[in-house]
Amino acid sequence: MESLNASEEEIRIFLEEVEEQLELLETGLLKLEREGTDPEVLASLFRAAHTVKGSSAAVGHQAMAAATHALENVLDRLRRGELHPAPGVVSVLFRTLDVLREMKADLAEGKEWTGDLGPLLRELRQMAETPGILAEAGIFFDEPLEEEVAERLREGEAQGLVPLKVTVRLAPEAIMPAVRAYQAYEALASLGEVAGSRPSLEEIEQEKVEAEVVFFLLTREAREGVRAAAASVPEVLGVEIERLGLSPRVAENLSAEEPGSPSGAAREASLGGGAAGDNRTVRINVEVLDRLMNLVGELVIDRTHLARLSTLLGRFEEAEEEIRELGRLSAHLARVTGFLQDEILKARMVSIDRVLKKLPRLVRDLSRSLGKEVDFEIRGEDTELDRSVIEVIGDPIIHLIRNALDHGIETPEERVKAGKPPRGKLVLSAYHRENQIVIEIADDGRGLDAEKIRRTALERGLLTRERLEEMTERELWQLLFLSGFSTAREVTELSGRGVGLDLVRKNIEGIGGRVEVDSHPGRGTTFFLYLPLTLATIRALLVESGGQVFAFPLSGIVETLRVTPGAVKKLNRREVMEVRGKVVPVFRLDEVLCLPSAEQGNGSGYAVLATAGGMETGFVVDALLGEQEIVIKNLGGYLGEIPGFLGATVLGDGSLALILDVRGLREPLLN
Amino acid sequence: MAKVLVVDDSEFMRMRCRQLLSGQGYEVVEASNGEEAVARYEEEKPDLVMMDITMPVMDGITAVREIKKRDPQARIIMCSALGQQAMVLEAVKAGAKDFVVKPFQPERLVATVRKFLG
Repeated sequence: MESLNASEEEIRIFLEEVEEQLELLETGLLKLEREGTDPEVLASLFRAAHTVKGSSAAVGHQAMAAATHALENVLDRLRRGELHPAPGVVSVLFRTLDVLREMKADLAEGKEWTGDLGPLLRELRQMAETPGILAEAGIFFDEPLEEEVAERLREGEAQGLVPLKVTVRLAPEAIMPAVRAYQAYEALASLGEVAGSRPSLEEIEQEKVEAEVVFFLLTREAREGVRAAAASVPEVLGVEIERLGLSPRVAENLSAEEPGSPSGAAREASLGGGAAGDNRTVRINVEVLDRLMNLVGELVIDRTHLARLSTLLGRFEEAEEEIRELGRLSAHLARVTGFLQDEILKARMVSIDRVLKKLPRLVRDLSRSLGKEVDFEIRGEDTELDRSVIEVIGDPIIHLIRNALDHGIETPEERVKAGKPPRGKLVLSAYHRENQIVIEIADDGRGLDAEKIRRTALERGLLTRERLEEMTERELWQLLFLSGFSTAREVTELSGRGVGLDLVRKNIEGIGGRVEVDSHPGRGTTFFLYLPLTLATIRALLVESGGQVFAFPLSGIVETLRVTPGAVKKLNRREVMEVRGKVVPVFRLDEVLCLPSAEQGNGSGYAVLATAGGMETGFVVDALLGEQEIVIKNLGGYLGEIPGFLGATVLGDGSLALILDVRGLREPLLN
Repeated sequence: MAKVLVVDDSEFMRMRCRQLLSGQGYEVVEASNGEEAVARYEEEKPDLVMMDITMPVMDGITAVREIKKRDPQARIIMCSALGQQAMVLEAVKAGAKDFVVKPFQPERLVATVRKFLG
């Protein structure tokens, strides 16, 4: 954007930083509201506001700098215990946060924020009761400075001097603090130029000095030299030095030319609370990671191909040395490729916290507007997932949370009537299980109503009465995920118009995951999202049917069985199989896909028992070829989205195999 | 041996300072007002001056200025009473290095002198 003095890259980093800090602010404000004044929370709030103020001023986002500056002042008063976090105060802080989000969103879209900051600033200022918080001209620097001082510091900086804020603490028992302050001034002035001080030099001469004096120094001297000079003054207890102005981030980039080491304070601020402080990290563009992942995917394919070739060659007993060498090389390449793949996967892992952070606020706002009382708890927020998975699951999770608040948890009155505590409980847990990440969203609300689901399914003509009668409760629950199914008595603004759960299902299955629901009437409902660790590769079972090779994603497979002649029986004109006492519908894969049948015909071969949406289905295939890691490739624009197929993969011998989508295959067959 | 010029119009104060500093091994010379102090400074070239502020003939601040004019390197410590902050400030601006407050605490005085003379 033209109005900002920052490159596109800088703005991108700026936006990321702002997002992190806004999330910290939000978490902090929620805590402040819930738990009242906690010094640690207030300190982190203050730091976050401070960081955003610094960076937004550095990129020249005046409105954001002004808002965060005003916010910082209020937080400072809260921090010092001069202001009580009354609901009115907190709600203005929340509003400030919302405005900051708007600004950020507009900047992300390259738009100028055009809102009116005036009223909000007035409110914040009133709370801060500090005159002159909008020293507009001085905002370039971290400090609200008098215009001449700011001007001089800017000039000095342009001349290659480093602007430092030197805070000198005097002994409280000092008899003549003004003299000490003046001595400190002289000591610092001998190292450069004192552009200003607080109290000013005139005030010092008028003996208006208390325990702390702040000097704004322009110098080429290293910090240690500055510190030593100020500390040489008698009765000086402490000296703090901070690099002034600029965003801490820019300051850090400049630190190479800066004398001395960056102060602890500056470093902490630059890293948003210091969380990442000790990790040596580099920010990488996601696109670069995506490309790396794709390249590794190609390598994985070649690896498999190469391994196959060298096995073929190696079969000859009298294999030449060169061929054996090729075999060793191929094995080594396979190992290295595996490591590379693991590392890149790791690099793409992001804590799920990123998605979950927004939720407490959402729950708070929603439950209020619905007149419900809810305790919301998040477990396992440090669980890691692939970036691309994280991007997809945000909306489904929000949807399920809304659902739980809207339909699951009852009003306090209803709950008391049902003999439950008036406050509902909503728990989101994320955890790693086998090769999947599971996210559970559990409420202790009224649970699902089996009778109503049956009725609705019948009304919508989704299933026959007989079929509905024979369904177990667990199977019934899964009907919620069918398109056009909604049990909400009224369509509320919150949960949308019955496009809810089927969309959740589509999103999750679209990334190779699965959704399930379990419910106990009167006790609550739990949704389970099973997510793949990554989107780029999956473990798959390769099968042969009708002379072609197909891949079943392993995540949906329950088991495989040898099909003996006669095991497949007819029931209601449908083919079924009895598996451990359960009757499961079975289909011949070649028939489903209209492929030429293999000679043996008559139902022998193998059955792959796959699950989707809580229902098991068997697919009879001619042969099982084994398990393998495969790289998912899109079918591409020519073919579009074909129901029943997730994509394609290249096999070791260079041939193609289609990846099957169990639910897509089954849906037309059952109706 | 380091030499200290003690400037005070009170003989009692000069005596106390002399006793204290001699006891620490310093050589002490004296002056009873600012004018005398300037003359003694030129004669004796002391390593340190302890300068009272309020004195007849020439006050301590003027004496600091005069001495600094003759020797910019001169090391001068002001001896002041409580409530003379503005004057001490004035003296510091004129070039005084530090100050001690009367009535002296002996250790304080010695510590301050030591800081400059070792």
